[in-house]
Parts: sequence; structure tokens; C-alpha cells
Amino acid sequence: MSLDPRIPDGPLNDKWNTFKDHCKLVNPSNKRKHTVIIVGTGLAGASAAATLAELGYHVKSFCIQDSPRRAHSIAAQGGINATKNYPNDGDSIWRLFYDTIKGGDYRAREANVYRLAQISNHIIDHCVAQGVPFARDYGGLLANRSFGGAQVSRTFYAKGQTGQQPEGTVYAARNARSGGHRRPRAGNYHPQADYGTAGAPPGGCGAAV
Amino acid sequence: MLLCSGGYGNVFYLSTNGRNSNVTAAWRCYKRGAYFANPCYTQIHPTCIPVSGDYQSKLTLMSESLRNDGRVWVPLKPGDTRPPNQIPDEERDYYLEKRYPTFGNLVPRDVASRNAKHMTDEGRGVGATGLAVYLDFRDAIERDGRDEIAARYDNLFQMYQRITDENPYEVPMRIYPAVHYTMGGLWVDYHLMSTVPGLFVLGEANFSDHGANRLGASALMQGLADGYFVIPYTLGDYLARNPLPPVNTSDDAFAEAEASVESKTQKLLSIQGDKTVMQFHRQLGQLMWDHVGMSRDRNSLKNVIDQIQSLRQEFWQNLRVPSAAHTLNQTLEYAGRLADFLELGELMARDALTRDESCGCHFREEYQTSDGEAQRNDEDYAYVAAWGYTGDEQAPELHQETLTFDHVELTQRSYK
Repeated sequence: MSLDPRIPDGPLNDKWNTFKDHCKLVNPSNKRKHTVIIVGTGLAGASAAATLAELGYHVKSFCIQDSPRRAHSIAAQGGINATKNYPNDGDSIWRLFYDTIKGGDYRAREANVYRLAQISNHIIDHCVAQGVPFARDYGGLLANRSFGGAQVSRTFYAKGQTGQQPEGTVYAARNARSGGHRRPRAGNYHPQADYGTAGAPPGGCGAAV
Repeated sequence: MLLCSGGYGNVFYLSTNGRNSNVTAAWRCYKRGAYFANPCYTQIHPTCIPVSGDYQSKLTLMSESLRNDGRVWVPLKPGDTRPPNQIPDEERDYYLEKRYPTFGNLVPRDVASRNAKHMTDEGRGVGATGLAVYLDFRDAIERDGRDEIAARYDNLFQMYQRITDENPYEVPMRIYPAVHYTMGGLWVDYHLMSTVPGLFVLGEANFSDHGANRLGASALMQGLADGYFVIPYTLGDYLARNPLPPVNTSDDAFAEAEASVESKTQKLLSIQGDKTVMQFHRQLGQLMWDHVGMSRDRNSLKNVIDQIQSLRQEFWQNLRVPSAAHTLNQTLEYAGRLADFLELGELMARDALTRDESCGCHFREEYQTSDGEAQRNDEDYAYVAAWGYTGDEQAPELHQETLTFDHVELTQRSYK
């Protein structure tokens, strides 16, 4: 099989917008015809479950823990990067992109990393809207600290519990999405043993055992 | 289907991961056609509480944020056993500040870990085991006051004190590198879709954004970016473009998967040998730490592939899983996890052996600059190594995704 990373054409800073402008959409009344199985309820899985359920998909969300809130993302301590440049110390999307590519010793995809840097600021806004109690300075603005491999302060944090706080809010979002049919179906303590591939297109992914 | 099942650091037995974290979900997808990318890229985090004894089951992270204010040092002289507060400044080696004046204590994790290892290799490690370095807040407390430092890190200081019975406000923390995160994972394209159509992989479970070394505070960023902002678009695009007839549990694929789980379960229960799962896990972890850890070399990697194969063979001949299949049997569950780790460990070693260069966390002794930094080989190895499963006990197939850099210049990474 050839490995096509399917990176959109165009300048680096337009690729993600170009994709969003031209990707196909699913009609709102068709979304409920699809069931999305999500394995894991850490920050990635729970945020996907909350967002896709909000959009109207049927979501089945599984985890191996007794409660989805015990996913290991809660153990993350230090922080979450974003290029808000609140300290006015010269940060930018480009710098986060560059630091990340260099930090990874030039073994990551430029397009993915640039998209990550672009999205970083939206994550902070979204988390704050959901109630994550990030540290703030005396004047009430969100505070930053520094992490390795950067010469700016771009890390948002909640003491030493920066994973636990968003995990709490994303868990609430996963559970509380608008109620009714939009609520993800939860399966806690579901250690899964294997997966099958079924359906079209060939090899399309289906059942979990 | 979205796989958001985290990383595979527990292949090392001791790590900062939760005890339950495992590779099973990703590994079973690998065996059904999803490629596994860059498995040898494992982040060994520099600031963890050191191992204290043989019967420890997990390790505890001390956040990298502590390096904002803590200064890393070891005694200048090897074998200096004086208590840290009795060692005067001129007999301390603040090695990160000295060697990397621009970034100082805030060099990336791979660099900080490698340097800590150099110090302990030189016999300048501290504490009872000699496998630790100091992280000292004395100067920060003098400068900013104890209250300010407490406002930033108090819960971390408390956690440290509860585990070590030492008060980091009074004496320096002792820290040492530990397995923390895996940059490798299932291969995904820009849409986060794996090589199995319809299987998307998010967060630490994929390989996509961190290259050979993840920067601190980028894991939460990536997990939330994937889940909140990327997948809603790319999944919709996939669903809208592909006709998807309904599937249900009467499908042949389901029956086949169920039968294979059933037979594997019976096999695990029927061995009735005399070693526990944990004994095997400890052995595997030690092999991985010694040979596929902070530094690697060709002979040691070749050697460990054989050792993992024999350990795997022994596992299937001499494992004992008590109790039965159709009851809550956590040992059985653990045995299945370890069976997968025993296969993954070999793939990690193969990947590390194939990558004849040093980059980020992947440090091959043969490839280093004159001052001991990682020496990349961009001409031959600027690619993602994506491994495809070809069958049990058969060599996996290597697929390459060439990495092109149109916007950044490939340079020798420097934090000096």
C-alpha cells in the first residue's frame, strides 16, 4: 500500500483552512444515521466524544477504567501550550511550529505541526469556556510559564494538575452534551480484546469484541 | 471508529503511565492492517522520582515546569556522599546551565535525560542508588520567597514529600529519567486516518505531531486539537465520501474476531506453567530499558531481539494464569496485554536497529557529534518508518513516508 499522507495543497498557513473550506459535510439529518465508536476517554477520546455527539452523531464511548474520568490524561501535570503571546515575549504560530519541528529533531510532518500550532489558541478559549480553572495573574489574565525547548512562556497551567482539570470538564461535556439522543452512550470498564474489519469500502472498520 | 487509547510506555514495566495503560487496542489494529509508525521513539522524561527498589510497580513524574525555577546539579567530584546542603556552590556542577547557556535548565527532555545519564555514568549520581541528580529550589526560594514557589508548585512538592519523606523546600529533590510518553503510534495521514479505512487514531495513540521527541506541554495540546478541532471535519469528510452499508454483529468479521479471542483465551489458560505475568513483564521491562532505552547500539539491539523472542517463547510455554475465562479475571486480562507487549518490544528494537542515525530520543551510540549530541542522517533517514504486519513470527514490512521540509531548514539541533 502506498503511504499517501493526503496533505492539502497550498501555502503552509492555508492548508488547514483550505481543507475545512472544501471538505465534504454530512447533512444534520444524516449525522444521526452514523454510529461512531470511540475507544478511550482521555483528552483525545473524551473531547472527540463530546464534539461528535454535539454535532448529532451517535457516539459509543468505551474505556477500560471504572470511570471515564480516570483515563490517564488526568495525570498530566505541567501544562498546555498555546501561542496567545499574552506575556508579549515574541511568541507566534510560526514559533510554536518551529520549536515543535526542531524539538522533534526534524522527524515530524510540517503540515500537521503547523495545524497544531494554529489550533492551539482555540483550545485555550474552548477550555476556558468549559470552565477549566487555568492559573491567572493578579490582574485576572491567564498566566503562562515556560517549558523545555522554547524561549518564550506559552504554557497555560492549573498548578500541577493541568491534565486533571480539562479531563474533568471534557468528561462533563462528554456526559452532558445537550441530553437526549445527543448524549454519548457510555461503556465503562470495557477492556476490549480485538477488532474486526467489516463493511465497504473494503476493509472499512466495524465491530469491536 | 476512533482509537484514542494512549501510548505504550508500559512495555518498559516501570513508567509514569497508569498501571492499566497498554498497547492492546493499537496492536490488534496493527495486526489487522494498520501500520505502526516510529515505534522506537520513546520519551524518557528527565524529571521523575528515582527508582527506589525492586518491588516498585510504577514511577512518578515531577513536572517539567519545576525546571522553570529548579536548578539541576550533581557534585563536581565522583563519589561525593556529603548531604547536598553541605556541598558548597564551587563544588557543584550545574551541568545543564554550563553546557547549554541559552536554554539552561529548560533544554528539551531528550537532551536533559541524556545528560543526566552521562552524569550518573561518570559516577556523579546522588542518593542511595547513585541513579539520581539534584533539582534544587534553594536559589528560587531565596529570590522569590517560599510563598511564591508554593503558589506555583505546592501540590508537586507535597506529592514528592509523601513519596520520598524529604521536604523539597529544605533539601533538593532527587530526580532521574523515566519512561513517560511514546511519540510512535499508529500511522495516520493528515486526516488522522490509519491505513485501515474508517479507523481514525487520535492523541498519543497516533504518531503524528512530535517527531522524535515531544516538547513539554504538547501532549494535552495535541489530544485536544485532535478531538475538538480536527476529527469533526475529517471524519465528516470520510463519512460523506464513502457509502457505508450497515454492519452488525452477525457479520463474518465479528465471528472471526470473536473466535480468535476465544482461542487465544483458552491458550493462555491452558499453559498452566509456573511463572506469573508480572515476572515476565519485569523481565521484558528490564530488557527494554537496558537495550532500547536512553542509548542504543547495533549489537545490543540485535542481541535484544533474540532475547525478546526467547522470552516470548517461554511466555507461551511457562505462563500461569489462575482461575477461569468467563469470570472477572484480571490476571487473564493482564496476560493478554503482556502477550501484545512481547510482540511490540521486538518491533521497537527492530525499528531502532533499522534507523542508523541518532535523532531526538533515539540515541545510537554509533552516531553522535564530537560533543556527544545526536547526529542525524537526513539524506537517508528523513522518513517516517511505518511497519506493516505480515504474520506471527514473521519479519514485519517497512514502508517509508518521506518527510519533506519546505519551510524549515534542516540544521543540527542546538540549545547551546
